[in-house]
Order: sequence, then C-alpha cells, then structure tokens
Amino acid sequence: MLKLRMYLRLLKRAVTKRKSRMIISLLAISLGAAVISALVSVYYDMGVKMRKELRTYGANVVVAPSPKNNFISTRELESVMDTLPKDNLIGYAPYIYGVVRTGDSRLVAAGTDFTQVKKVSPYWHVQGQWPDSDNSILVGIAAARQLGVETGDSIVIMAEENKQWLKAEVTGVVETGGTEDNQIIMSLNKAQHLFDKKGKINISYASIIGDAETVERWTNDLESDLRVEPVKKISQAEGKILERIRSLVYLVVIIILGSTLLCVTTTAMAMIMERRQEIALKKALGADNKSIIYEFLGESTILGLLGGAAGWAIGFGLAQGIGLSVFNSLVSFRWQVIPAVLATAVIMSCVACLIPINKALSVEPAVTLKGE
Amino acid sequence: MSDIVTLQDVYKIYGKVHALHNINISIASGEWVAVMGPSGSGKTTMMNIIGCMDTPTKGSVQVDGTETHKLNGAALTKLRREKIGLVFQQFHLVPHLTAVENVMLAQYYHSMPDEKEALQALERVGLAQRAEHLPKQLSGGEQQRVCIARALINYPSIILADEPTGNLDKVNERIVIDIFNQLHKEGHTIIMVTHDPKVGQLAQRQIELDHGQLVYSGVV
Ligand SMILES: Nc1ncnc2c1ncn2[C@@H]1O[C@H](COP(=O)(O)OP(=O)(O)OP(=O)(O)O)[C@@H](O)[C@H]1O
Ligand SMILES: [Mg+2]
Repeated sequence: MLKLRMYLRLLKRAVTKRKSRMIISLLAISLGAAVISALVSVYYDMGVKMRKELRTYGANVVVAPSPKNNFISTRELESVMDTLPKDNLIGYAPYIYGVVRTGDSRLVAAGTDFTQVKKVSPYWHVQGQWPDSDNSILVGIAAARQLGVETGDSIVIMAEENKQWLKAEVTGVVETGGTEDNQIIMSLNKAQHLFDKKGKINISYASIIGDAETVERWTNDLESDLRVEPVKKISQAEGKILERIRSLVYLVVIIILGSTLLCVTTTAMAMIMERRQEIALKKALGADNKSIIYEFLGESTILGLLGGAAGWAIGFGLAQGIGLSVFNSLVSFRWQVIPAVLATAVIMSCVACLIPINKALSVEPAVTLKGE
Repeated sequence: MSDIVTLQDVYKIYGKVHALHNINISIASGEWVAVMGPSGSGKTTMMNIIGCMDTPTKGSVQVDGTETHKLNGAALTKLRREKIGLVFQQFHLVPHLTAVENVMLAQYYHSMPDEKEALQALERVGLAQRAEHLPKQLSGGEQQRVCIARALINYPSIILADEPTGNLDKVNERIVIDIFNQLHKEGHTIIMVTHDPKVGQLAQRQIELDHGQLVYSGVV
C-alpha cells in the first residue's frame, strides 16, 4: 500500500517535474491519437453519410410495370413504396411519357412529380424556376434550342395520339445530361390529363439508402406484380467506392500508428539516454529490473492517457471539420471512441517504450555513475 | 571482532590494465577504513567490488557472510540493496525528486517507504528544513548530506563513500566528516576513499593502493 503510494508519487514527480521533457512525447501521442480519433469518428458515420451523398447522383431502383401491363397505377406504386423502410427511402419519381407536337416539331413530353424529382435527381440543373403550377413546364436544353423557346415563353403542346392540346408557360430550362434534355417536362397531373392516362404512369425511379445487398433484399421481398429492380451498376459502384475509402482509412490509421510509434520511440530513446545517471543511481540503490520496467511503463501509461485524452478531444473537433466540409453535417458523438482511442494511445506509448526500456536495463551502475 | 569484508587474491583486469592486482584485505565490523592512493590506482574499482556493483576477474570476496564473486546480477542487486549504503563524490540524487523523496526512494527499493523515518534521517544530517527542496535548490554540501541520509536509511552493514568530500568546500567537508565521525561512534562500518591525508587520519586504519596493488595498510 505504502509502496503503491510511493510508486504513484514517483510517477507524478517524473511527469510533473519533467514537463518540458514530456511535452514532445505528449505532443506526438496527442497528434497520433487525434488523427486516429478523427478518422474513427468519421469512419463510423461515413457509411451512412456516404450512401446519402451518393444518392444525390440519381435513382438506384427502377419500378416498371408487370410484364403483362404497359402501365402502373399510381395507387399501386404508392402502396408498394409504402412498404419500404421510411428512413431509407429518399423518394420515388413517377413518369408518364407521350409524343407531342409543338409547332412543326415532334418530341417526347414527360409528366412527373417535381418534388420527388428534386429528391431523387438533385443533379437536375434548372435555369429559371421549377414549375409551381400545372400550367408551367420545364423544357430540356436541347429541346429548347430545337424549338427556339426560352424561359418566360408560352407554348402550345398537342398530344399526337388524341389531339388534345394545352398551353403552358416555360418557367425553366433543364439540363440533366440525360434524355430529359430532349423532352418537355410537366406535372404528372397535367400529363395524365393530356394523354388521357388518369392515375397511370409508365415507370418510376426510386432512390433508396443502403448497400447493394440490402437494397436487393428489400426489392426482392416486395410482394407485388410490379418489377422492382435495383440498378446493379449503381449499387455496386457505390459499394466499391465505400470499400476503397474504408481501406484508405485503414491504411492511413496504420501509417499514423507507425509514425507515431517511431516518433515516441525516438523521444523515449533520447529520454533514456538523458536519464542514464538516474537509472544507474536507482540500480545502485538496489532497484531490480522489475522496478525499472514498472516505473517506465507507468510513465508511458500516464503519457498515453494524457495524450489519448487530448488527442480524442482534438480528433473530435477535427472530425466535425471533416464532416462539415465533406458531408455538410456534423459527425455524431460516440462514447465508444473514447476508450478505443485511450487504449490505442496507451498501447502505442508503452510499445514505443519497449526498446528504450530494454536499453535502460542494460545500464551498468558502476560504469555510468563514474563517468561525468 | 568479526570481519565484515574479506578480499582474497582479488584481481580486476581490463584488457592489459590490472585495475586490481592480488588484493588481500579484511575489514572488521565497526571499523572505519580510509582508502588512499593516486588517481587510477584502483580505489573505485575496489569499492565497486566491495559494494556489489562489480565482480572481480579472479579471487574471492565475502561481504557480511556472502560470497559475492559467485553471484549473478540480480543477486548482487539484492545484496547491495540489503547490506550497502553508498555515498558518491558527485552526490547523485534523482533531480525531479525532493530531498525526502530521494531518501524514501532507497526505502522503496529496499522494503517499505516511511516518510517519517526519512524525515528523521534528514534531521540527523541537519536538513529537516530542506526536506521538500529539489536537489537543484540545495547546495553541494546539502546534497551530499541528503546522500548520506539516504545511505543510512536502510541500516546497511557497510557504508561505502567514494571521495564524499571531493566536491565540497572546507566548511561542508567539516560538516560531512563530523557526520561520518558520529556514524563511526555509533558502530557503523565505514569504508571511505579520500585524497586528503587529514581526512584519512580520522579513520582507524588507512590502506593505500598503487597501480592496483595494496602498498600500505595500518595506522599512520
Ligand atoms: N570499465 C573500465 N574499463 C577499462 N578500464 C577501466 C574501467 N574502470 C576502470 N578502469 C581502469 O582501471 C584503473 C583503476 O581505475 P579506478 O577508477 O579504480 O581508479 P581510482 O583509483 O578510483 O582513480 P581516481 O582517484 O581518479 O578516482 C584505471 O587505470 C582505469 O583506467
Ligand atoms: Mg575513483
């Protein structure tokens, strides 16, 4: 008991009375722990955040009519989509298509739900305004050039099949890089009306958060005649990107661990050289190897704990910075990271001391105490 | 009186250098011996062998009943811890520990630290007021007195002092020598290296080394 108290007193003195000497090691450990803590914090959130982020590149699930049908009823679509997990379903945009004439031109018009489009395909680039009423439309950029219309113009559109027509104002020109560039896009309601297809759609694109297998499982489990299929290419590409970022994080963590270890070992080595006299004296006073090892491991543990704690705090701040700049959102606090970072820092600090301690044990008191 | 230290045919050879050459001496319990001789004559080498910090190349050494020349490092350490009190010329205190903690350190490695006892030891050498000072806040003489307090704390069978006054001025030398005088009166065995004939004369016996050989032993 008294011995333990003296041991702790020795450690306390070694740390507090040798502050300037400890600072380099402490700094090295803190920095290492900070980067690791930041990466681990980000890593935990990354999967979710990345998937959300990746979903801004468009739909990853296609809903098509059953093989016997040409159309899906909107009610049917809704009931199927309702069975998917709400938090993971970003949105689903329904589409109905028809051929229309305007002036001398013949082109495809689509009807869709603009609020859903904004969720499913946030990459749509609209110059002007998104339509806010059934009488306003978007024109694809290529179509606008072909028709010679621009934002603010009004055009007359006639459905080729049933000769119904309507007049609408162009509130914006849309560029998507896809087929929409050649189309006229109006509200779902208006298009269904125009084409006489009340309550019907041709296809729907949905955006669902989740890895490839999960999304596939969900779509397979749906009990419906509709063909609901993940866009394999997209989910697999997402998986690969995440996989790569993961291995990158592992790599960085290993490199950081290695360089911190190296740095702490070097400073510990210098520290042992500097404290040769002290070690020799302790041995002359009768300290056995065990006592010397315990003292240095004790000091390393304290260093590890201090550096780990500081590192965790810095790292958590760093993680917020990364979260904000990369994902535009804060990284959540996870208490599990604290013991993990502390343990890593302590292990790092102790392992870094092994070679130096071994060196300390080889100090010959008779030789070292004589020199000076 | 029984012998507490016996060296028989002791050699310490470094390459070609015979740091000690055929040394034979016995030191009785309670004796105060001054070791003298020119620089490089083997005084420290002999002290290290008696003090269980080193072993001879040849010959046998007995310290308080134990044959030390046969022991390995760990056993030597144990014996040193239990039987020997060391005082050095360069003081050698742990710089980040206070005076009393430096004394307690010897207790800690020996058995149990006891702050009260450590303070009493400091009081004996007149340093009760300096107990909480760090070595750098103490004068050379005060540091050496801390070392003496530390050397005494575990009731060693032998006190070894290698030029304890070598780095001290006259006043502090006086104080330290008085302490040794006192210790001798109390029955401690003291082996002290010194260059100063006056200090040497205070001892009961002087021995003199030259080129590793014992050239004189007796009262001046
Ligand atoms: N570790 C060593 N390796 C080689 N030679 C050594 C070693 N230690 C001592 N010597 C040699 O042994 C001889 C005796 O050395 P020692 O230190 O015992 O002398 P000393 O009498 O204490 O001298 P001083 O009065 O200067 O302290 C010297 O010639 C020294 O060079
Ligand atoms: Mg010497």
